[in-house]
Amino acid sequence: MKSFLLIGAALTAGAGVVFAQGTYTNFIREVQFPSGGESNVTVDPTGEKLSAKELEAGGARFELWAVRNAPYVEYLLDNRYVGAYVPLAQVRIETEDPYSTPPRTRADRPFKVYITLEGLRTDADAPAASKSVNLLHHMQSYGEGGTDKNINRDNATLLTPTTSLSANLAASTEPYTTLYKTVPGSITAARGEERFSIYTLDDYQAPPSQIASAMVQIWPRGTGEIEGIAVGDVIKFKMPDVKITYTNIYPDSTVYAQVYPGGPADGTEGTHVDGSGKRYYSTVPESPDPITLTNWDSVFTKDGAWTMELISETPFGREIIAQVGPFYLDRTIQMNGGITTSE
Amino acid sequence: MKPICTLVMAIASLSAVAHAQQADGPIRKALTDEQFQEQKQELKRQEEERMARVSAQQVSLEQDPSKVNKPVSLLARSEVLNFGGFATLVPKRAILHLPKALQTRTGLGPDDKIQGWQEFYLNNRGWISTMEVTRKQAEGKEPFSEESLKTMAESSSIIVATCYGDPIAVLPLQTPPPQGESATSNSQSK
Repeated sequence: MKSFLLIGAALTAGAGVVFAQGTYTNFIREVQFPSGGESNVTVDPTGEKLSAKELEAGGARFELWAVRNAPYVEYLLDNRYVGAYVPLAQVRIETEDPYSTPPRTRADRPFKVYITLEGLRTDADAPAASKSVNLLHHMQSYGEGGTDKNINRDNATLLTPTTSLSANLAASTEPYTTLYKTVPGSITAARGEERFSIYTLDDYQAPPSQIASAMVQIWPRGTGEIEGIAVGDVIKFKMPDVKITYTNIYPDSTVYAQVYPGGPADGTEGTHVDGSGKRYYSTVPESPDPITLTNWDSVFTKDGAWTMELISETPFGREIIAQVGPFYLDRTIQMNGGITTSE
Repeated sequence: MKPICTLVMAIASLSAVAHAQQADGPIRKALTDEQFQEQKQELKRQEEERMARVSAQQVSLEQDPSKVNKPVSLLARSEVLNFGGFATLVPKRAILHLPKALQTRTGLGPDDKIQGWQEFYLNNRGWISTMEVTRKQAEGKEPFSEESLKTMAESSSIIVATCYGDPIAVLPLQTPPPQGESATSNSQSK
């Protein structure tokens, strides 16, 4: 018999998506190998308990499912294999975005993959499945404008060659690897997910099985467009209406327009233009309807050269995603005349 | 000049991932695709150098392991118990006894709200009974006692096999039972 901790919270955290109780009901299903016998496992959404059931010689797979009501839809959030001589592993992905369910990052930002591995054996007569494991890297694009809703993860692409790990990896503050996205597409269009999983080798008692997995979502860098004003324009009387378009605003980020006197100078803190943007709290990129600025002269405090920029505030910093300048304001009415008298 | 710029950008990139930039940090220009590709190549080169020192080797697999032994639909592997607009899932073959009068309490209705086993059982103990089974009985390696079989046969409730309180499938009996015991003991599980 091999006792082990069933850690509800850990299973949940490792899942690609976490569903709130209420709308969804979570089930943990245990499948024994080689018999195929199944049982439900009751674990609180957060917490842990020692499994009272003994494992068969071939081990067992624990599956975390979220089930949605009316209509019934089920999601396999995570699954882990536990076996008598199978090593224990953990995979964790860290990005610059603190959001973690699931971890996400932007297409132009690197992310770190942490792996711990313990219990690998080195004795010559040990089963092959106890001496090494395979690290798989899958990539899947959501397609143009797509999200993870209704995607078939069976269609994920396994990146080759695969890495075989034959030595334990202690927990470390140093990542196993740091890398950029492999999801295809430019940084302003790529959207998809990357998954890192550790699988056991095919064994006489159980087929290759997942013992740890983590995924990261990749979202494009937002873009912006300013229409109605152009470099070199001279504005004589009233500011023209300007149309601002934001595309693929990164989840839970803020966009706005700013203006400042003078020509383009990256890094300048300008004056925020009221009504030019807001914070978007969604969990997927947004492309809202364009905003039109009208009667917005008051933001320009003097005549002369000006620059307008669209700023994106994300966990990756503040960035200029569109810039127009310099354009020139010449709103002062000059009176050229003289005074004459007449008898 | 360009190689220096590339290196500087790569270093900036690595330090950036270590310390997330603050949203109130300095405003900078967003990367272009060309700049991104330069950073990516530089990071890849650094990582390849580092990975060469790690005890790992590249292998080619004949088949994607994630496509083998993949869990199939939970519903397809479950029996559904329902009542009053609520339903729960138990493993197939976990229902040991299903009286004819309660057959309508199985299956999933289009508007049924799914509940966890504990919650559903708590609210429906009037017509659901549980029978704790041993691991050997669940694996089909040990028959039920005559007394258990008699209790099941006479019950007017649906009987669900449980192990430490959780529903468990009872596999068909693998070996003939010892002389004098029923040969159809576990055949009542669905």
